[in-house]
Amino acid sequence: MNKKFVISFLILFLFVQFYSLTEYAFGVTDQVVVTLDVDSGITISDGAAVTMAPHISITANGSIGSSTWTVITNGASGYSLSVHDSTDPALKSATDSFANYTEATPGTPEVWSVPAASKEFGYSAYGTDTSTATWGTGTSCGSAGAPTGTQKYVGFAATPTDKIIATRATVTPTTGITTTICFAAEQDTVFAAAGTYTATITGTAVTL
Amino acid sequence: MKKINKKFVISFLILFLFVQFYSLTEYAFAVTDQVVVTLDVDSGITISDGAAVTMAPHIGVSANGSIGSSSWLVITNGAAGYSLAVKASASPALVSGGNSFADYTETAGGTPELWSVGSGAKEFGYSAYGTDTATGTWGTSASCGAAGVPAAAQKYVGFSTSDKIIATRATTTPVAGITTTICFAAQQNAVFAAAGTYTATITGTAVTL
Repeated sequence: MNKKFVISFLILFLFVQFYSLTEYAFGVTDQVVVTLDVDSGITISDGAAVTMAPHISITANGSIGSSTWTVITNGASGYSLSVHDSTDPALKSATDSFANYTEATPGTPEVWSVPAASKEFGYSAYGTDTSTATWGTGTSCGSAGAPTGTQKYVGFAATPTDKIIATRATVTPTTGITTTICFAAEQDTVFAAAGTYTATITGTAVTL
Repeated sequence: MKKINKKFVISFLILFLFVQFYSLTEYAFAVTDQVVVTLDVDSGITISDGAAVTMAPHIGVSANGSIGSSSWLVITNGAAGYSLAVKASASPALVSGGNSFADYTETAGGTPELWSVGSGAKEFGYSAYGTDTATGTWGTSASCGAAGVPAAAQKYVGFSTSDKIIATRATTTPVAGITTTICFAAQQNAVFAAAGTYTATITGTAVTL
């Protein structure tokens, strides 16, 4: 009886030992979860104030100007940059104003054209993230008071409403993306009263 | 009571977390910048070259009256408009050597009136008409007359060497400008002007207001 008990005990002991050794021999695992938060952020540069040139007068009918914004973001879905005015119409003096540019199809940018007996103010844009189909293929705002022929212009909305001028679906380079906004004003067979006209334009960059 | 407290606390926590999340989202994901755009429209004004005037017909022993006209075109984008004034370079204005026509004399000095020259006098005066000329002051004829006779409904005044406004407006002009016509009239009444060539130099001055 004792002999049988001892043998059985030894067999059991050896089995348990072997099983344990076997487990250690085939590997064990453990997982460590590493967490890193990348915070979404976006910045917009301080766009320079614009003094349009040349001055409009009784002998000069057109004037242009431009400013730029650099947007930097790590938003996973990118960003959009939109603009709006602060008054209606946007460009006003103490006594007179330029009407917001009128398009053949309201709200759709088009090649610059001001009808007779009108004086209007509008804008266009270009840059890496600006749609050339919408805003034209020009990469300048024009010269000598005349808007670029291949750029497309639109008027600011009567009720300040954001209109997107640039967008992308990914993060920007760390140096950001620069978008240029072009401004244009023209009087056609009518005089804008002499004075200083101003418009305050807000650019807003949001992550998507 | 316990149930109410529990619901209240849960609701409060949900609201608190929502407000916190919304605030963080707004601040984190939208940035703005404002650009001020300035356009200067320079004030300017031009006046055309008024044509020289040869009055007609000639005054003679059998013709007592003569008229003529010239016009100025003023263009301006002055926000407050412009005024056009005239003055003579001499007094009297219309002279020929030592002879002259007296400047037109009004019943009320300086106030334009219907043309009328007293007997024994020879006088030279002017009127005006145009879009920016007050018909209450200068009359309603819109013509200088015919055959040496001033238009009946125009009002005339004598020149001085000081500016007198003949047209004004408070806004910009059309780009084509505004034309103002000045009418000249001379008459001898029961007296002869000595034969000769009489000239007057009249200056029109347009200024922005």
